[in-house]
Amino acid sequence: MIAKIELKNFMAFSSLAVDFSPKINVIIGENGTGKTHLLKVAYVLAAGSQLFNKKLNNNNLEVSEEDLSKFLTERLLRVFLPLENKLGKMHHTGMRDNAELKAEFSLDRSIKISLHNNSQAIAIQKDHNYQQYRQEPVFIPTKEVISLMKGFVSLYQKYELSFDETYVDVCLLLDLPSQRPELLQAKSKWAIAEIEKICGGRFIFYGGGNVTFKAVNNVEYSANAIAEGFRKVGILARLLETGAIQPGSSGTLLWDEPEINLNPKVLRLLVEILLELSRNGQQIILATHDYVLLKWFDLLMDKDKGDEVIYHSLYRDQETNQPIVNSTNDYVAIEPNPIDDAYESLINSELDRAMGNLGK
Amino acid sequence: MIVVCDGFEFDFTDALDVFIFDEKNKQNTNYHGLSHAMKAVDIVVELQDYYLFIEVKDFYEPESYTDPKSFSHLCETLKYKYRDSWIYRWCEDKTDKPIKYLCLLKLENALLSRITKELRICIPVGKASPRWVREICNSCNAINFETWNQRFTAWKIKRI
Repeated sequence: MIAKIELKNFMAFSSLAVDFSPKINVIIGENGTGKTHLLKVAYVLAAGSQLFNKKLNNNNLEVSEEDLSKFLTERLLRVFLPLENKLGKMHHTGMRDNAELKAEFSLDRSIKISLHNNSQAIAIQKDHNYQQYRQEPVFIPTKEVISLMKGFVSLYQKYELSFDETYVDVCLLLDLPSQRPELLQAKSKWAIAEIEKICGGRFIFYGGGNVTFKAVNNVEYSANAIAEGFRKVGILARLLETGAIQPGSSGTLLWDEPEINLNPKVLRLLVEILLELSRNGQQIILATHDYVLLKWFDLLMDKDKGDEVIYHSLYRDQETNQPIVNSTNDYVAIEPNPIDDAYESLINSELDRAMGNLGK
Repeated sequence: MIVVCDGFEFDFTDALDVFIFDEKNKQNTNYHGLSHAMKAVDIVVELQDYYLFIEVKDFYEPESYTDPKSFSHLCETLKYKYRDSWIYRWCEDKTDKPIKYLCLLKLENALLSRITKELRICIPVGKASPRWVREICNSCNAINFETWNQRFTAWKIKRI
């Protein structure tokens, strides 16, 4: 579980600290306030677990500082795709001090890394039981990937594509074999069944990126013939099916704008599923621009069931123009709230039309 | 001109007349007297060129309006309050100016947009039929306290 992310002089951020709920975290903010960057930092720093688990499987328990630095450097470069593929381009422009990225995890584990303008590799500043952090995170990017899976991973490994590595990572997770049904948690089974109902069938993954869609009447279709929104929620169903998301044992689920491609009517079910997963120990951090998604979290969260939703509003400080954050667990106290502001602007325009200058 | 209604004090600085429309006090000259038969908006304001019908619903549980049944009920209530008030005022021969309907609701902006749209259709606003030569409602807007005070600087409201 990711407890806290601290950033200094990294990308758009001069200084930012965000404390995360172990349950649900919803990041909002206007374009350019760093929502995706924050998600990606959390992903990269939690992704050390992928390296540690790999070493563990090879009976090589210790990861050297050099190997860790190399791994995190590559992850940063591939996830952020900086200009000229240079690490130094991620250093906040005009700052003398090093960029610093720090993550604190549950059970007193943490990692702090740094880089500067000419860095070839990140430096490990502080590593506190980091190698004991084994919960592998899952990142679902904005665009659905089921339609592009076939051949995508091979192409990515061979050529420079304009997709960041989160797309490859999720494709690899989708292509894992399905877990034995008896190993699937009841809530995962329930969520998969609900998504199947919405889609009118399920996606079948044959490996190698080959995916089809089997409708409830058992007729099989090309996955590309299925609505994008179904392909989007199909990703969640598949990640549950493979056990990549396994509430209570898998790492944080990071989801960038889940609402993209989805009809707003589906968002209620999506929020119900995310709340159920969090009730079973799944930490979720998502970024959104969508009022309906945000509002369903407010309406469906149930404190009596132990739910917690923290809203993190990223915005630019009026004086410094630097992104800063306000976090609250109270929906009406989200401030600033650009989603609500957008609706206020609509209301004001309607009032202009209806009332003219009356009352002014 | 100041009027107090449902925990708010309204100050309509440019009004010709302001009164509580659903007045329940028999001693008052504006006593409604037909509440057993007709619904009524809270306040009527007479401006130079318009009347305002104002309905205040600040005390409801706002979250309940996202329930489709509660939402429909709220829209129905607001619709009949307007229509019955219009009939009452027609009988008073006081529909000589266009009427604008403002609903002051404790709801966030996204939900207010939805209610405004629904009310415009169901009241209905404007010359809703090709056969109509008159309108029963010139405009309708659902608005919350914060937006009201930002927008209507000459009609400030404060909570009391």
